[in-house]
Amino acid sequence: MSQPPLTSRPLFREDGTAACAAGEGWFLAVDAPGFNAEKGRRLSPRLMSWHRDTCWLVDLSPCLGYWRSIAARRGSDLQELLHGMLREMLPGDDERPGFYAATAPCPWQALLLLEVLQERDLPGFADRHSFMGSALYQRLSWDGWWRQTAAMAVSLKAAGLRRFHPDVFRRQSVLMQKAVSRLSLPGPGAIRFSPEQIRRRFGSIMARLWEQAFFDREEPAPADFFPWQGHREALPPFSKRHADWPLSQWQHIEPLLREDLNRLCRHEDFRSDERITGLEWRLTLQDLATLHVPVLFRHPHRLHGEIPHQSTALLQARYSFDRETARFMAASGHEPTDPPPVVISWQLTASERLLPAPATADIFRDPGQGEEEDFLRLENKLAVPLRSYAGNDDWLPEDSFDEAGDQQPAPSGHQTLLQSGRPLFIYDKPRPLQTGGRSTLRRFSERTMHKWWREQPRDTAVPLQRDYYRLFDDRQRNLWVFRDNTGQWFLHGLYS
Amino acid sequence: MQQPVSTRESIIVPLQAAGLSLVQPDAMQSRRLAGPWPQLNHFLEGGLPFKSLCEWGVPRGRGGREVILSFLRSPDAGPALWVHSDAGQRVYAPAWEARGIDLQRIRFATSSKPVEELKPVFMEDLFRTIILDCPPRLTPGDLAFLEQRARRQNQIIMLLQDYFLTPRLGNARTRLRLNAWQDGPSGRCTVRVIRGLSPRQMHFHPGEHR
Repeated sequence: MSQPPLTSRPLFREDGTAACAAGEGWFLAVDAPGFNAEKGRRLSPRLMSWHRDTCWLVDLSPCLGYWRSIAARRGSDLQELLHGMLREMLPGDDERPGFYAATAPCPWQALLLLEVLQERDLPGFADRHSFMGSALYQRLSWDGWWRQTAAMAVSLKAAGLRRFHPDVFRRQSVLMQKAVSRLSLPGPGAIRFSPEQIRRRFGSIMARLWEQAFFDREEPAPADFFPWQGHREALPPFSKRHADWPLSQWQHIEPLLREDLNRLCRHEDFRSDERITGLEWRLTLQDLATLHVPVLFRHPHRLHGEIPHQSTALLQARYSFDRETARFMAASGHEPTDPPPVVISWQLTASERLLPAPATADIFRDPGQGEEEDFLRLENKLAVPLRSYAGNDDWLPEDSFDEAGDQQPAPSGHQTLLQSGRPLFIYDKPRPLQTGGRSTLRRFSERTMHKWWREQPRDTAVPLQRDYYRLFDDRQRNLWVFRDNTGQWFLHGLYS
Repeated sequence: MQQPVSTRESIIVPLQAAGLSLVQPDAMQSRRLAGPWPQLNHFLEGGLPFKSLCEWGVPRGRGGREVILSFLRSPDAGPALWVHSDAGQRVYAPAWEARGIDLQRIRFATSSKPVEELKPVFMEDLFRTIILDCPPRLTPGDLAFLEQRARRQNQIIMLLQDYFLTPRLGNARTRLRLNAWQDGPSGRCTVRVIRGLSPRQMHFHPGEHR
């Protein structure tokens, strides 16, 4: 059986496609003598070893909602929960933690922050966007940067990244080392070049590393090209089936798949208190072609908890099966109305297992308690995600809320007053207003400063502020519009 | 041939399994979702009925959703799910919070095929109130399914339309059909009953009785 590509790191997006952008996830880099894959799987099923037996990267994204709900139930936050779990797994001396650990929205930043912690001999835990983590990150030394860059070059080569030539990259690194030495820059955080300037001088790989390391949190995250090579278990629990007759319709596949899911639960290496975030379902078709159907869950799912009906896993399998067969048919030149591919056998593997940690044992034994867990459980059954939001203190409307989870300061009373006059839905991006703000009924509502520093330098004037109005158009619709200081009108929302 | 004897159990149990009851309609109208405005609650004879599908004519840009949102402020309404279909727009959460909505007890989803993509939501009673905001197309079968699930699970499912409803074209599955809008400059809200109660209309200012 061929293995799936090791670089795959699917994060669940709305359309079900694999997403790999920095800023979408949360990664932990940890270095500790006692840390290994088994301990890593207590935090997330997706992990990779980074150049040393003791250094690991853990992709926490598939378990983020789950850990958040547990942290909320315990009255703590995500960082505190994670720190506690690491302390329990890797006990140190009375005074000194037994690990170095850093979290960040992308794996490269987590590694760089880990480098700082080790350089300064600060064992413990730091988050890239915490007050301390942010301050430490800015003090990354050139030695640390070059050490991690050299490790990255080895990984890029191992991953077979196209357009990566180790010799060229080494030459460009030497060139850059000379340049920063000439300029007497204290550390990478002191450089004020744009990624484009770095690309011109030191090549595209260095520019992308730079961009990944120092992108602005408020900016759209750059596409991640991290050479993720997931660690695979030697022999994960699996179940094989050879169909007695060819199968093509879901109603025939479903009962057999249910049987296999239950059989998988009886596997001796698959403990009843484990959870999964993904199943690997490899179908062999009548022409011996292989169809890979990843069955992903938004939150860690307890397969044993749904014996014998397995409704959640079957729903996600159904969504993935429909999507992958449609894709397969399109790729092989079939019409959507043609009969679906015929399956003769399959293998179902519990490929992404979250092992129970002692610190969370009570939670594993007591699933589905509380409304928050009910939401997670329900979300695992759906084809589209459920979203929840929390407000923050940003003044710009489109930045003044986030998806719930991050600990955000509650909006001030002033903000609440302001927001009660704003519409319930806004456009993703303000749209130029065709009427140019002409209306007999227009009412000023607020003046807001624009984040002018985000704008690309151009010939035209940069908008500095927005004047918001309620405007009633000729269709009696109540629009939320603004005029910027350049005189342009934009539609930002509808009072629906 | 002897006719089989119908017992009380043989009649009631299958009816209960189908979500039906022999109890008088008045007794079934036990629970209603009341909003913050007594005047509006009185107008709706207690509020919006649970176990029902309610249809609202609330064209976008006319402010009718403000009336619907007022019902979601009630603790009885949550947890609530708001499903919208316009991918170009996104929920502006602070405005919801500023209008008294508990963001921890409301979830949002974007789906143009809610019955298909969110079917497990309707099969469970986790959400007390579900709002389908302008789904592009619901078949009569979808409406029958929604009405049946609302009845069985003691929920309110609100179906919002991007146009004003008229008495001529009806939706047999909905118990209550209403139009709601805000008058532009004055901000005065108007609610008009199309079906489910005797024809009536009321005006009120959202600022009052808040």
